[in-house]
Amino acid sequence: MKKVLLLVLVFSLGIGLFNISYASGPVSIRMSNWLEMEAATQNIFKQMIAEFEKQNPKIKVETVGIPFNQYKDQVLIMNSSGDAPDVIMGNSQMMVAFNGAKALAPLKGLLSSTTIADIFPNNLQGTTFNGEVKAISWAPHPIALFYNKELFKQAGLDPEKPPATWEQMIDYAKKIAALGKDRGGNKIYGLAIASAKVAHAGTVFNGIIYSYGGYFLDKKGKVALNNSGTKEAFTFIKLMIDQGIAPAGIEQKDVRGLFAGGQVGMVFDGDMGRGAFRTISGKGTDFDQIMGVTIVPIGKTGASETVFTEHELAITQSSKHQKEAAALVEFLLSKKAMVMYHQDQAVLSARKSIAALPEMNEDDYMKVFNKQSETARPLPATNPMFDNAMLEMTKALERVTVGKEDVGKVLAETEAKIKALYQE
Amino acid sequence: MKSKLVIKFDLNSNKYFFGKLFYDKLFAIGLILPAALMLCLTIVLPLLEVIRMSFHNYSLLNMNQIKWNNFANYQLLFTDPELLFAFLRTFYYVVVTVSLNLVIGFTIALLLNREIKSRNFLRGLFFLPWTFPTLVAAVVWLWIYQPQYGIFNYLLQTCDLISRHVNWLGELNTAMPAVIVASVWKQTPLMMVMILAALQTVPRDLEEAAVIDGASSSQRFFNVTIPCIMGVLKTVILSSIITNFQMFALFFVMTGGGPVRATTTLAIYTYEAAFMQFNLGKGAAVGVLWLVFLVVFTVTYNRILSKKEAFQD
Repeated sequence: MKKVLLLVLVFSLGIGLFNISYASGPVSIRMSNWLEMEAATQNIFKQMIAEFEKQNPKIKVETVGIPFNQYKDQVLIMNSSGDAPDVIMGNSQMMVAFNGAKALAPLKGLLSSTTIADIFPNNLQGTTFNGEVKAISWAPHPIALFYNKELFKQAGLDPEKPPATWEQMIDYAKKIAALGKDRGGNKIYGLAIASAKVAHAGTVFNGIIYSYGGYFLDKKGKVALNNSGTKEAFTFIKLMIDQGIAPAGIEQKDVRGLFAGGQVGMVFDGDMGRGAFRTISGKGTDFDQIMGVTIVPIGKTGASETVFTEHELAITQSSKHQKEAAALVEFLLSKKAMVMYHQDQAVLSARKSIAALPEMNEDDYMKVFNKQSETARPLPATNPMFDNAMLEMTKALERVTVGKEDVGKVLAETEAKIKALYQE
Repeated sequence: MKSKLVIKFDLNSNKYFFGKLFYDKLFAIGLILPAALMLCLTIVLPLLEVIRMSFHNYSLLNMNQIKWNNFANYQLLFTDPELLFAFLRTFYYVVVTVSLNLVIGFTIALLLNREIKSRNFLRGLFFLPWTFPTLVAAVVWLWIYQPQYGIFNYLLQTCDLISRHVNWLGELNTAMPAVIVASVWKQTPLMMVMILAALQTVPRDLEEAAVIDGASSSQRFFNVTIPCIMGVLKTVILSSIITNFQMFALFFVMTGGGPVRATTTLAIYTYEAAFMQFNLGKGAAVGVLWLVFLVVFTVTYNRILSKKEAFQD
């Protein structure tokens, strides 16, 4: 009998030891993203993950690739079904929805305080919900002003002196629009601003609202769209379109097409604009000779006002490996990863210490965007319904510019509608 | 020697335990069962689930707390004037699209039913647009209508019919007609092929008899051809109505429901409710109302046209 008991004991110990040795093996964490679903970013993303695994042999990263268009819904469903990944990639509009679904863990205590303190204050503000940092800026895309040097020359403007103030920008736009038509008989516009169809137009229009001293949320964080600055911003775009200086009813991809085709003098776009214009124009890097870029002209507030969209990272509340997930986030924000990512995709870093590195400022183009990062404001995304609110903003722009409705009436009605969406 | 169990079925034998009819029915049920189960799994169960969802507080942000909400989704819909507008826009789109599909499809089918040169080639050519996936057709038309580079504006300007770049999909009065044109281009070929197939089944002797009786061509068309193909017409029209009521891809890609709300149909409205407002319950409620309307419509439609068929007999 004793022999039998001894055998059972030895067997149990063996099982226990096997379990211990198994538990001390690599910890597997999952990261959802859309980068690996897109040809342009697939390789660099895999390289960054491979580098992390090389540096952290005890952590294995399983990537969960989801196409961008389905990303938000899929992550929300994964979270609801208790199958949330450990690390979530997202943009500002998505993160506010993930936070609304109580998916995100507070990052204080998970990430080092040095890393959090190194993020530009505006970027940090954009990922802070109710006083808690729930996500962290990874690759910000501040919006700056692109201009066509050829059209500047034709309009008698100095192509090396882009507009420094908002009034100058309007004046330049009028002069460029006065050129009339190009050789192909196409109308030339002074300025093009996305104002139709998708939520993105309304989202980016926040930058123009800020330039006029307006706001979407008041100081208490409540929807307060119907203010004098916003009215001025809406009136500005209406006048530009009514006078034929800017085209009506277009979205950002149309704006890019017009600029790349040499039919518009000035457009607002992010740091990814250069790559897009090179491709769409069919001229590759030769397009850089025509294209100039500068920070957004100083508006009513006396500052270069703009917004940034950005890719962000977060750790999920339900993750059983938050420490390992934090190690991955720290790595992706590190100098090593950011320089790799920048060299491949020309992305910016939201970290002050990295944004200032010579490797991240290799030409004037990157310098302009790093400078713009300092003043760019986060999107006012505080409610899970933000994307829907921005779609209402786009519809308001359409009502004013295409429907020729009264600005005051449209803003009052849109504000009421967004308040209802936000349940305020 | 091993014993072997042998079951013999002798169909001519009268020694059936439950009677021959019983076994025949059992056999028939066995044949139908897999398909019936598959239908249940893919149609009936999701349908019941959607009906259940429409009575619950079903948010994508909080799917762990799904509660009965006392018809709140339906109350929300009936107090939202946009639902009625979305329905009216859908109705307008369906009526115009199906009418154009029918008239153009019928005309081409009648032409291609005659002895003309290159008839087979023309049939293939006219059928081509239907082979494009709807998404591809939407993107193609998006570029055709593009205000600055689009071929549509280019042709109209070349012919001096317009003096400026018209944003066909971005202006309130032109957006819906522009989508309808794309839709008709995409769907007419199917209507044409179905009607053409039906026309080829019209008995020659009936037509010849009508000619001998002195019937004019229009009399032959309305009194011989139409009644002979009524069954097919009824089916293709109904199928076209239902397809267009559900049309999502063309609107989503070409206009996104805009400008303002000029092309927000029921499909776009449902998408906005379910996936932009995260309110799956409201989205399901729209779907249920939509279903009820289509069921009532289909039953009424079939009854009215069945009477006409009966009259023909």
